[in-house]
Amino acid sequence: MWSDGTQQVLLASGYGEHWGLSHLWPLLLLPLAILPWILHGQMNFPHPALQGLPEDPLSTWLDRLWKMALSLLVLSLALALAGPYLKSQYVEKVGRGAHVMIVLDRSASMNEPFVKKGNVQARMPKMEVARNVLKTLVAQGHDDLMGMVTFSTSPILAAPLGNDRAYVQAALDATEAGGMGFTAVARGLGMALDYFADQPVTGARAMVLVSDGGAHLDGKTQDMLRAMFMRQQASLYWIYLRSESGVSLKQNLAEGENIDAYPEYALHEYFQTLNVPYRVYEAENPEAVMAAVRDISKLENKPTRYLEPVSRRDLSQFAYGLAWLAAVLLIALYGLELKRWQA
Amino acid sequence: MQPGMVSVWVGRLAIWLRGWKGEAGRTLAWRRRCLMLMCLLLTLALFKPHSMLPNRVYDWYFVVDITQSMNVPDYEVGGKSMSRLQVAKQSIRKALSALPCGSKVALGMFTERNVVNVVRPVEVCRHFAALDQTVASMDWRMAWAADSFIAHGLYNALEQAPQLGKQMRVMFFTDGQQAPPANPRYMPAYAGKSGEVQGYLIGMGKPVLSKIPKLDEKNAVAGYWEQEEVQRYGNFGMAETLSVLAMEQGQHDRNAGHGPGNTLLDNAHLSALDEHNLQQLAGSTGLSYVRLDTAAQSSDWATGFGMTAWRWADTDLRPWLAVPVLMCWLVYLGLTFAGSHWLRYIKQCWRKLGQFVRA
Repeated sequence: MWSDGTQQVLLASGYGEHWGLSHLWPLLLLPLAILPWILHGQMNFPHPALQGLPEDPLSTWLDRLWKMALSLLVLSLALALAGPYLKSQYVEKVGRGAHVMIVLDRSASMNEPFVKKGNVQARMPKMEVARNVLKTLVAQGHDDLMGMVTFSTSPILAAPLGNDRAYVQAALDATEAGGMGFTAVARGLGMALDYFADQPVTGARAMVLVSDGGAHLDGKTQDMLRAMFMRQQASLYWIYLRSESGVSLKQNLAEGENIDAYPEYALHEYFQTLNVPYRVYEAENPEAVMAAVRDISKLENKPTRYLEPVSRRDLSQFAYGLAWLAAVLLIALYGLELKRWQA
Repeated sequence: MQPGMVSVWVGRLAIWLRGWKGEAGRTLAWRRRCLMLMCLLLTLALFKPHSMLPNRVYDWYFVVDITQSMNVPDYEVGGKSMSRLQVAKQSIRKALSALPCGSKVALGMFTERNVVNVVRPVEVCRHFAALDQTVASMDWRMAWAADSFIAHGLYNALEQAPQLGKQMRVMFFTDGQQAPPANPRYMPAYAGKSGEVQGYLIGMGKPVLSKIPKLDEKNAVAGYWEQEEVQRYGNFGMAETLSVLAMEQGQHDRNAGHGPGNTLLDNAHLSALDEHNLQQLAGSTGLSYVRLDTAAQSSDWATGFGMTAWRWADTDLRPWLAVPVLMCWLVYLGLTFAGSHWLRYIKQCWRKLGQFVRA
């Protein structure tokens, strides 16, 4: 019955839901607080007739204050040791810089190297090249907010848009496991664009698509994606990891060539019709991609406020503060104590 | 300030520290020292001292099954039905805020036969916001294939765990639904050492069969999976023995199907928590199987006794200051109330105990 009652009270106060205690054992120290009130026998001075002295209300109150300070000290210390905290709190942060969403292709073809011949350096898988490039991008421009979506057959949000660079790095490292499945460019871009949907436009928005190939987009998808780009006012940077057999986007297709046979070319043509700033960087070799990194770091921005969740807000600082106050009070009262009998 | 003044102050300080002469004076001096020490330690505590010390932390690899059977809404929270996936996500988010700072968390998602590692282990307090949002965004639409070979997926997660960290534990949220139904004889055996990776296999959902919803673009239920839509034949499998005699008698064992038959598929379009299968998997891999009833349970499991990893981590030093303050408080109290009957009684008892021990 008792445990039921306590549980009810705890639930009503939001324990576990809104606040919690790191440790429970320090609560056993709480009863110490009654010691000053039940103990007697302070130091006194031998005096033949203490009863004869008049009662002094000020001294009585000072004595009570002293006991209260003693109790307060031990109570707040016990509380501080228990470590109370608030759950699901938000802190306001100010972000400057561009909002950059990286859209990384994780399909199976990314496991292949740029060229099949040559030394180890040249035969680096495209995924590794992309990762190295993105790592330099993530390491630079520390004012930008960054996020990442990886996609193969379906898109996965790997890192939410924020200023947590180490997290984006960790998400990039996780792509080491190797790619799989097909290339669903549209879905990847769609998810990344969706991420901007509920936020006011406070900074330049950039989508950095890192992909090795094209995928065919049907008319409906094309229109939808175009509308999304327009609405979110995001510019597009395509880091095209061209493989040996891949077509270059710089030169025009030869007369009579069927564009459908070159999906990356079709995608390039489509991106040019998006009515948003668009640039393509052809990365035949790992160095060429640095240009993209430089361009993105030049984007202009306004500062933006946003809320970021924190795991818990520690409240024990207040308890330590109270304990400190009590200690100072005790010292002050010690100063008032009569140390020697002055007749 | 004049040099003479300084010597006067030093002298006063010396007297003040030495205390007054005599029994009462000594007590007074000790009381003062206790107070000063308390005040000093508490002032230090106000500056939030912290340093790297070996600390009890927890490393977790949270893996969520995002196959469609996880969309079955057979949890009830506050009068509203919630899907298994939602509850799994909620319990991971609760566990994230329950883990002490210094713990590391990696995230993964399972469908088909493998687990995709979304993010490598990161420290939980500094990266809480990103971790929390990543978990919140996990969705069944992120699935790259519709199959659900739970055994393959679990083994895959256990393979990844040691690469993520030496003390990485795995917490795998799944309902155990195998889709399409497979011949149990052809399920892989666990290749690793049982118990090498510790952790929990967490059963989601109720053991009662429910229909698996098909969700539309806005996550509204657009229908349910029907039996016609799932795999039709359950007779894949070869005969265990091939007998010449039987063949001569007109049997075609070599070419006939020897699977468990279509009874296997009777309920393939429905989903229930497959506790039997999960318990078996947990037994062979050395994980602990537990069933999740409320989202809050997982934080207890995540900070459970056997799952600790000791590591150098940023530690709050204030408790190390607070404990001496408590000692000082007790000494101060003891000295102040030296005349108390209680304390005298305790002193006597202490002496008697000492004599008793000596005798």
